[in-house]
Amino acid sequence: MEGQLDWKGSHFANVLLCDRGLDQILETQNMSHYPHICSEATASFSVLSDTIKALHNMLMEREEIESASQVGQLQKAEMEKLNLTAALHLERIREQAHDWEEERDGNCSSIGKLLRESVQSLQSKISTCVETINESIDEIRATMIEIED
Amino acid sequence: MGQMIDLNTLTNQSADNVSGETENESAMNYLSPKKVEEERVQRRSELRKKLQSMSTKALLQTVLEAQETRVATYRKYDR
Repeated sequence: MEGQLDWKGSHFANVLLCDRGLDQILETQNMSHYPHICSEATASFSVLSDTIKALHNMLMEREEIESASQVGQLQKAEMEKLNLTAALHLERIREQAHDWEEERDGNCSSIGKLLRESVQSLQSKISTCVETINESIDEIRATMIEIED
Repeated sequence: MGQMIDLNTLTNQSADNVSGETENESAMNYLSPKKVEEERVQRRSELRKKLQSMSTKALLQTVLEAQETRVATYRKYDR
């Protein structure tokens, strides 16, 4: 039987991450939880990235170039997605804050439109990243099928 | 029976610290880049040793499982 990492036994992400997300924060208008959520998510993603990089390095050492390339492409796309997601969160917070201001003051400016366009642009870039990630995963699955047990 | 790597041991150290220490101690650890880096280096070393015993197919399977965990993490962070 193959050695394997015990991901099922590792529920660290569930332990680390509290049950609150950006939508809930924006809805309740309570931003005080956001830094906490970010630091917890950062810790989880950091551990996952370290693990994937270690796997990538091991594949490189074994000269499994194709597999290593697929894993490297996956990690690169995930890093980009995380950066874009962080940027999207900030932009959504700005957009929400601006909406509150407009609602309070009864004004309507072009800034809101620009913020909405920026959010849409980031969401589009994230979708492109997700496509790349899914392609990489499909390639890894195909490689696994090719490898004999 | 195959080798099992308990990621709780590798990854829950910081979570244990947070729950088991006073606020000040926790904050000090959190703010110490040196300690964070030391733990990271140690974690990498332990992980590397364990990965060496795994087949290429098992390594790729682990990538996919890590990816599932990443997706689950996103569900909580990005919603």
